[in-house]
Amino acid sequence: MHVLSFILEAMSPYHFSIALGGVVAGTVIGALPGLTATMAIAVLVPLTFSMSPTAALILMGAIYTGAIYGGAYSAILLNTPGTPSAIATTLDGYPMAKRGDGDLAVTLACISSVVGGLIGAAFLLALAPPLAKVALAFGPVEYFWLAIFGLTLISALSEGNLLKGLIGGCLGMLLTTIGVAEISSDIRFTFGSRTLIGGIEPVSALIGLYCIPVLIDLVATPARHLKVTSSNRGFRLREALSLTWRHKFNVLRSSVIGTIVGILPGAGGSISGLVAYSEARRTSKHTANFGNGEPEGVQASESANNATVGGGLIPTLVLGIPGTPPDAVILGALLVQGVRTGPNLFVSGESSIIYVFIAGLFLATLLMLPTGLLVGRYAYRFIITVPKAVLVPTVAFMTIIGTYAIRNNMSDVVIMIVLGAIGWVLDRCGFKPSPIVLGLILSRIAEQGFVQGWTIGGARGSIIAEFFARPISAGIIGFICISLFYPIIARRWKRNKEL
Amino acid sequence: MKTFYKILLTVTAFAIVVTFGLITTASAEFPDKPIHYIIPFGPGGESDVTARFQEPFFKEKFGENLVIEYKPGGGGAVGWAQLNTMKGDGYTIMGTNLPHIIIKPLQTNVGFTTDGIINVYMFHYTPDAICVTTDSPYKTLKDLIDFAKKNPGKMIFSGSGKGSANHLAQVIFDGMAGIKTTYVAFKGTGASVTALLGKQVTAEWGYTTVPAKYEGTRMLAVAMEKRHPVFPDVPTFTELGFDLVSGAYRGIAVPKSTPEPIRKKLSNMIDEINHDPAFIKKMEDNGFAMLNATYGSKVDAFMAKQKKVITQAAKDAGIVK
Amino acid sequence: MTTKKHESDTPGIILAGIFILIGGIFLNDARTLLDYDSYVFPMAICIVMIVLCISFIVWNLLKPHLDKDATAKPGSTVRRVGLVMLMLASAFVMPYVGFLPAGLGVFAALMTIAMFKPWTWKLAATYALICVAIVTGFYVLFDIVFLVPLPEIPF
Repeated sequence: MHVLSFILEAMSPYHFSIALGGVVAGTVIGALPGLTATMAIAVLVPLTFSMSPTAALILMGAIYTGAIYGGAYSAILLNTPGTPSAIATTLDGYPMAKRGDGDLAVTLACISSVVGGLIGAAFLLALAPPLAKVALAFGPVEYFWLAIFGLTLISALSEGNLLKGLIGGCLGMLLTTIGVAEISSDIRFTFGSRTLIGGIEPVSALIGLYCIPVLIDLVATPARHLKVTSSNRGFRLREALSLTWRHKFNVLRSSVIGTIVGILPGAGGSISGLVAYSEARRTSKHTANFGNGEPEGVQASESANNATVGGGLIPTLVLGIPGTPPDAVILGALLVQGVRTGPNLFVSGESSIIYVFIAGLFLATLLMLPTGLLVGRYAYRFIITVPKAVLVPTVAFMTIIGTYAIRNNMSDVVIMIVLGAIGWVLDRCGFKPSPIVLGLILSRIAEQGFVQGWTIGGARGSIIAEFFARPISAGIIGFICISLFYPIIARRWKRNKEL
Repeated sequence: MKTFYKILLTVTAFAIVVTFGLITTASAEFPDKPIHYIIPFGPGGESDVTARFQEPFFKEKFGENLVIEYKPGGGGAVGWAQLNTMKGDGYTIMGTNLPHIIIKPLQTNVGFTTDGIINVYMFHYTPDAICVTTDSPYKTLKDLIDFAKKNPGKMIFSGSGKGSANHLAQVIFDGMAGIKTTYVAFKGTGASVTALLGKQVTAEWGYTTVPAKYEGTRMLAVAMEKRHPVFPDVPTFTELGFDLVSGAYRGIAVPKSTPEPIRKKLSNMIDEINHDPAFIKKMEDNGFAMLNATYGSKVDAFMAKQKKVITQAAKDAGIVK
Repeated sequence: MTTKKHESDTPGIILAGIFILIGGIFLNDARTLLDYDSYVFPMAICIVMIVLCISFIVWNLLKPHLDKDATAKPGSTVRRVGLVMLMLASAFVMPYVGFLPAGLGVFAALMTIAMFKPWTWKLAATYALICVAIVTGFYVLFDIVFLVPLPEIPF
């Protein structure tokens, strides 16, 4: 049977070791803040020239999968997303670690990533061509509303302090406008500084706003970084598995969200994690606990961002349009190898490459479970036991060099540190970093969608119709309204019931 | 904890040995170590892809690796602004793009000037082309012009960025054909084609690389002197009565401090790759068009001509004053 | 009888004021942009931000209250400032001095700042070794494996 031959080929010792090596390397790379999956794959592209296209694809896919998962480590243990996809993981992962449940969080992240990755790959296998069409139906206006939906999460993240959260969000959005404008290629708000022409690089800003304040506080007192519980509870695997089963609907839904957001070119893992987190929070019985170490938050974010790996490959392989930045590199490598993307890839014939690759992706995702648990265990032990005088310099050093490596630019490092210091001050005054980060991440998409939609709507004759009358947009607007007003309505309804 | 420190000791020793082993002195025939090829954009774009095409040929012909690095930011400005601060020993080269390096310094202080960029070779271009979906009602360029004349402003083109080759082509062609169309800028060719495929826009001002790469697209006309070898059915604008030959040109530059003989050597090396039939085939199959402007009078003449044309077009487009 | 005077969220108010200033600066700069597409979005954000800040200040003046989330964090300010200054210094110095010297320097300095136990010779020796190991380890990882062009020691 065809299928069996693909699976067997993917499991050949050569491919198996590539997948295993790729997953381990990817996990380690993703865990280091500043090193992104894109960078890791880009470095390996020359290596792939001497490999067969299949082996090259399996390697890149394995690294990609591992890296997206690896970002959870620093997110949980250092409050710093190792890759932007892990932003939503910090929201509940770090609080869990602070109260001593870091090992549980890491194991949960592992299991959720595996489930998410498998579901994303399953969609890629079964429904790639039709789903790619869905991707095309999303125009600029849809992206705009999607960004707005992401921004409504600010209200959720700033309970009791909505004004400050919104102001933070605006600040984040404003920071993104510095540099070259996305649409008009105008250079904005550089105030004459040559350094700012490049704009504020989002990953370095992430590290600055999330990691530097943690370091600043670590250095101030001799207290331990994370709470250590005396008993060695091992992986807490059984506990994590039962939690996963209990919240299976959350994990499944988040994986589907992750796949769909992945299909949309340019959206990426960070947005899928945030959207899944937002939905999980809204529909959970423990809404109030989100942000204080609710396992469901970690599960939602990690299953979504790994599902995006498979989802992002759909437009990449079917349309030749990269779904996420790592996909762009993979596409480039494929082009050099002479592989033609397109729906034909999924029709049998010359395209056994694709099916072996997808089988390899399944394999790499499954391999994440043992490797992830092992690496996670050692990462956790390391962070817990290493003395502060080693931890602080190592992390600080890592952020410096990692940030430098993003664009080979020292000014990114300076910006990161300055933003970090400012972020610490803001945090002390009640302006939390997450709304600012949300603004940073979503602003570009919102602006592009807005300006493009405005231009197209103007040309078509009605801007209002363009923004509000399109079916998918209307759907997203509906979600936004539900998201914003549901808590108020639910509370009022509950009060009425009690009367 | 003791084992912890033991492991670290071994790692230290190993690391020190490795590091000192790597500090070697080298003085031999150029090139005798890898050359850093900096792309001032992110990975996956046309600059990256063509550099990747060059990579294996370089290794094969000259025995050293071409190490591709990315330095994105400012639409290329960050990289170009830093070019002349880099070491000029021939081991650092950077990709350059027209019209970017001509237009950006005209817009504002970007940290570099067009003349300050020392191009050693211009090795390819992507000719402008009007692309539509395969099922589009516009079968010929004339169909499109007729529609645009009857419905000013309703013909919506997507394109990659403002002040780019796509945008300039749209402005120039609107003037030539006496029509008024709307241009919507997207971030990169990929997003621009996505909009086309998703029917968010009616057509796209793209390059000849678009139908080579994306299923479901075709071209109405190309801005070349002769028809593209891989698309013999698509007429040129010149054939249809419009004198439009343009595109996005890409080349390689070195820091100003690079000595003259090294510049010539690099130019010859790229020239050699550019004449390799396998390389030419690979480029053309993917929709690129070759260009062979070698260091010296050829590059200078090329840049002078393009500067004039592009500056004028940018003024007409209202991008620069 | 003590009348409890409500404390106002002074840091918050000051910051909101600063943000209004920032918004104003950006708005002013946006006027130099020619293309509508370039300034419509940033201007809208600035206006929203300024409105929000004003609302915040007004609300806080009418109903003074402390922000529960704005916690005063205990600990040594000297070490905190030292950390930031050291990191900045290393970023500025590295392109001139090279990666390894600057890296070793900042790592060692940070170790001193983060150390709360008294130094002994044995401790210093082990930590010095760790410092060299980790810095060189990262150097090898980034320079050799990832081929990142780290600032070189100018010879």
